[in-house]
Amino acid sequence: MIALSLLLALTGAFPNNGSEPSSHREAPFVTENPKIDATDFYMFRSYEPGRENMVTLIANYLPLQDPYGGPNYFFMDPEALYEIHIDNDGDSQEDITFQFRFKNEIVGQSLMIGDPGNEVSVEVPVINTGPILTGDASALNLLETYSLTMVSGDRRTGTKTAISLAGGNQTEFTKPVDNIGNKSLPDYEGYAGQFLYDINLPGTEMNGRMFVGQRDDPFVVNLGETFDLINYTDPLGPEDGAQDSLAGKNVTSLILEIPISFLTNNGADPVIGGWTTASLRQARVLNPFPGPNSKKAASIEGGAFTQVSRLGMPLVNEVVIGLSQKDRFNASEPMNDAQFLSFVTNPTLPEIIEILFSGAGVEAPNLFPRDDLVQVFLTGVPGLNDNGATAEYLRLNTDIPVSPLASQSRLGVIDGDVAGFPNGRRPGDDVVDIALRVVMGRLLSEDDAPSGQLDFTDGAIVDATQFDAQFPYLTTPNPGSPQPPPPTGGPR
Amino acid sequence: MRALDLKGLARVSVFLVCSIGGVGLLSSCKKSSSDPVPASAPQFDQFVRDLISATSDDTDPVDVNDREFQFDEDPAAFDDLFESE
Repeated sequence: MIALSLLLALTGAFPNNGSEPSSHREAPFVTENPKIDATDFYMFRSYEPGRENMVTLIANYLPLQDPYGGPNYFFMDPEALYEIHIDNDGDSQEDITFQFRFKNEIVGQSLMIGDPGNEVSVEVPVINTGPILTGDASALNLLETYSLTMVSGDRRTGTKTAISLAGGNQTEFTKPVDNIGNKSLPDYEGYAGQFLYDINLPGTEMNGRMFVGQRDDPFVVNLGETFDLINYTDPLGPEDGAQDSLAGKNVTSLILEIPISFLTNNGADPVIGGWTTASLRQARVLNPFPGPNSKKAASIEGGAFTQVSRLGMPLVNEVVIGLSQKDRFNASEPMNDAQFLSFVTNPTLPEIIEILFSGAGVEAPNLFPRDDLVQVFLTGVPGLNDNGATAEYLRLNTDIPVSPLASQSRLGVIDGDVAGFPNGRRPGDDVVDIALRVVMGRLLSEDDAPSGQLDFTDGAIVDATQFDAQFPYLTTPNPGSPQPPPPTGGPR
Repeated sequence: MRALDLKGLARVSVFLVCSIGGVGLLSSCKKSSSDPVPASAPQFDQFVRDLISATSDDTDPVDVNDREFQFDEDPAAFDDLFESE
């Protein structure tokens, strides 16, 4: 048990996060396969009142969803395996894995078309033929369902348990259709709320909760400027002076709420490590003559599941890992992370920032190896969330009390809120600003990091007030219609 | 599930792969991951076919980094996979 006072005392000195935010299209292969592109992973003690004995896990996939993306919208890949892993004994390997598998079923709605008496039945080209209402989804022409399996031990060879609906045996769950628009879905949140499930967990009388579906992308970043040679108007300017590039974009969220005691093996070690992965079958053959149903699909896939996406700490693969290693990182496991050590001990991002802003007197830290970043990325911060593992994943010390929504700091631990990033990650943690400050040496001495105390910012601000106060926390996805008004000057 | 639909094909391939000293993809003849890859260059089509035949949720993928494949330009090479259902 870590005393809160001790942690607060450490906040000015511990080396932490250093990582970066989010992971949208961060590696070459996932840009070709957006359905398995993990964008963000969150893990935090639930701050919904009365749920403090639970941990919420959120794995987001399929980035940059334009809400108007019809007629197919953003169904998950039925051939993929989506997983959330938990290491609860500090050996850098998963002890618990939650596996999500998806299915699609075309209902086959059709209309009778033709002259009276000579009508023919013709299949419709859209996924709904009328409004989809709370309690009445009969107009939906494509149904998406999923199952959840819990694996104890190795993700492939461990003991598997099909997760069922609390109080029953149902093991197939409904994923709400994406937010097509206000005419198709006049009460989206009411509709989607029907698919928030209480679930049984093996070996305990306690239940978990689950929601899988489209959400407003919670990640906030000044993305265009960040990758345009950090083209911020002023990286030391107002923390809310720029637009969120992901505003108006949706994402698909896999959200679980699991008892702390279940994840920590009844408290044997209060620190857990968590990360998400997605895997595809190793072989794929394209069908030159796709048939009208899933048995003659556009491709056939087989072989072992092969990991192609990985995400724990935010932005690691995006701005830490070298360009040629990004696919490799996505295929790797935390227990083998020593291979990426030099990207952390000798990071390039601070040097790039110095090069770009040397005219303003910005200097990168001059202390190597960057043990401060190693602790944040690979070992956990002593006295906060170290667990004996050397692995890049999100760490959460579940003994640290929850910060209620109203008292959460978007800067997390470096602002004294030890319930926030990098002790886990909450939706309102501004990991971009935190990362910028930490990689520039916030946790080092002024001699070692001359610019370490500057308040770097991308100008796109996020905090806890932008999210719901209860599970599943992430907010209603942006509707595909009506469109926002045209920009000044009228439509193009 | 397509994997289940391919059981018949898998049974056939088990015999073929093992009997010709193939790429060792199947559990019945699988080599450990530390075993050297056979020097002979496998036909890519057959390699893919063997992978699909060995579809499983419980196994690890096959390392392909040290393999050199030979490619046929046969557009019908996999037609039977789609006719099997």
